[in-house]
Amino acid sequence: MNILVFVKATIDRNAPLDPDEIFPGDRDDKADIMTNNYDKHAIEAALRIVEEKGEGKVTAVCLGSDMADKVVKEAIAMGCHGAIRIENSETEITNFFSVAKILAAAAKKIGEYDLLLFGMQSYDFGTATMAPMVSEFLNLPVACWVEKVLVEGNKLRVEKVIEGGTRSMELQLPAVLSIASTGDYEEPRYTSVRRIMTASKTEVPVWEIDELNVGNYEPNVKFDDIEKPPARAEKCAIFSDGDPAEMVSELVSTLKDKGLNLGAFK
Amino acid sequence: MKQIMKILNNYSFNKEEQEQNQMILDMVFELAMNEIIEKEQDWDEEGAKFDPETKKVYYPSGMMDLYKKCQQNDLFSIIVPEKYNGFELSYTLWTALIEIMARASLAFSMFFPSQGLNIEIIKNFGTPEAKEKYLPLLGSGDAIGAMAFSEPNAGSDISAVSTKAEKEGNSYYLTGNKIWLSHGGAAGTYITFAVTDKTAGPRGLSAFIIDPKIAGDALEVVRIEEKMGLHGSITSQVALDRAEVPKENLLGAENDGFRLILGSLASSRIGIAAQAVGIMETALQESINYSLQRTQFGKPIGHHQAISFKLADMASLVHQSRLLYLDTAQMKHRGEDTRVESSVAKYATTEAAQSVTYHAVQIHGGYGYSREYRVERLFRDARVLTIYEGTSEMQKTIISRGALSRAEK
Repeated sequence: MNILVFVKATIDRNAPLDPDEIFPGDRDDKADIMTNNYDKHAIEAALRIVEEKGEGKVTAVCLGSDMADKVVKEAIAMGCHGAIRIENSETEITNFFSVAKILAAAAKKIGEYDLLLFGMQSYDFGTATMAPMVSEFLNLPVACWVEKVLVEGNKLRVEKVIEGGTRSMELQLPAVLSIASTGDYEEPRYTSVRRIMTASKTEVPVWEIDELNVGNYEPNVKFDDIEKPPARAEKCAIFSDGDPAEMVSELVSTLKDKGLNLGAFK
Repeated sequence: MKQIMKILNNYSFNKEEQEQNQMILDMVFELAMNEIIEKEQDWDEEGAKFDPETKKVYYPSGMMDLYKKCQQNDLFSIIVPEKYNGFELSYTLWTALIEIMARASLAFSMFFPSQGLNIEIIKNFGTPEAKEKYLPLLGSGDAIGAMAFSEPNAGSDISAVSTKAEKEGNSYYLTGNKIWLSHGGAAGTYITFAVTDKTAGPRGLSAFIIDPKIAGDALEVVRIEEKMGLHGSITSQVALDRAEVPKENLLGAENDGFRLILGSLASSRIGIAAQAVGIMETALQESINYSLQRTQFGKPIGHHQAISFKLADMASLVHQSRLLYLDTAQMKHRGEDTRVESSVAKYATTEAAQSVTYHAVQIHGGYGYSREYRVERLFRDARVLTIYEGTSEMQKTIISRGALSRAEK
């Protein structure tokens, strides 16, 4: 069982916010970078599947600048058998469509895989699009927000989260899954000192995008800028003293003055 | 975390070691800040328990589950030699780990300094048999390490120990009372002193490892202390009634225990300094957060000079103290004698912790005195720091002796 887990470097939740430095490559301090926390559930799922089967290999794949070295090393320190980083320092590709095309091409280059796992979304942009897009490019079956995985021969039985419950599905291997942060893989394992020592001695190969035969990966959405929203000029009006009936009519007339649609209160 | 790494990266670690330090501390930080901190208040309220019927001691609910996570993450084997299944990493990293644990919970961080001291003493003075047996156990965390030094009449004056050790055949039999044992009743190894030659004073003391599995019922917990703070940690009184210690568990030479233990205490004092910094850091962060939230006279209290200057004093003490303990740990890691420097670090940082936690309560005003707020517990917990592992007065005695002896040479 060969499993590829795709991991992303994001800005650490404890790092200072700066709208001009929203991508890991914008920062120059590695302490500002963390593994997308949702991806850790995917790593946990991959390791558990391999452990339960008693055989197999988990490889972490990451598109990122050298700031993401920390992320691939952490994946090994959690228990992944190997990792590959795809260099993304000069181009700074961040568009979802482009990233998905590159990751699909990387999977093709690796060749031997039975299962591709993703976190259910990313901590920064949270589009939750990577698993479905990659599955489309590779023409593989996909299930998203998966809480439980059972391998039966060359088939997978999974339970995925849907609104108000879960849904069981059967997929043919090879397949693509995005792993939910709830259910069986809710608590990803920590790294351990022993595995950290292994990780720090492991050489992680770095691939260039040019080597992957990606084809055209021009972004299909143009990304302009991220800005802080302007501070609100309006102040809160608080009605706390006086006769309740009067306060209500004051509140309603204030809302009317602001031009709000009050429906039945008109 | 950034501050610790900034300082660590100034030391002579190579790139690979820097990466290991960062990854290990990241993992410790995650464990401490995601899980340990959540339980800290419950542990303080529930406290450790003792059952007088069965003589068993209990940590508060959930503490051992997190202890097990520390075991799974190999945290106790950081300073254990490779030969005994450890990683032989730096003492500096070990003390930084203690700081991070103490930020989350001082009671939980109590597992580390005493484990470290057990490992140090057995590594330096144990017989080959004892090293083979106990170092892997302490490194995996399967044995919790305890220290049994104090007696009702022997506190700072360890030479007044009256527990006696009688040699019969291949074993010693220890009889006496020991007090203030962290983890007493739950530990897998106890390092202790006993009189082997009563005519020789301090030169008649020997140091031993008591293995409770060998001692059996001859080692019995009498009670546990109800304390001002550190409620989650077990502090016991233990009675030894002809507790058997095989001769392989003698540490160093017979009658050489006093010198040997006194020298070793220096290293665990750096761990206590790290605990002090952990408490201070949390007190500072709580105070910063509160002083930005709490508005009085039309602005957050942190923007009033009376409070902002307090914060400046606190931040300065935290930074000085962190430099002090990490530098002393690094000195020890390089193999230098740190007997005086460890006392300076322990004395200065634990006294600083009194001031920082005092001002943290003050900044919180009435809320700081309420049990609902964290700083109330930090203030109570911090109080023990200037007392255990040698009082501030004992540290000053050691520091001044060092200073005077240099001048008198």
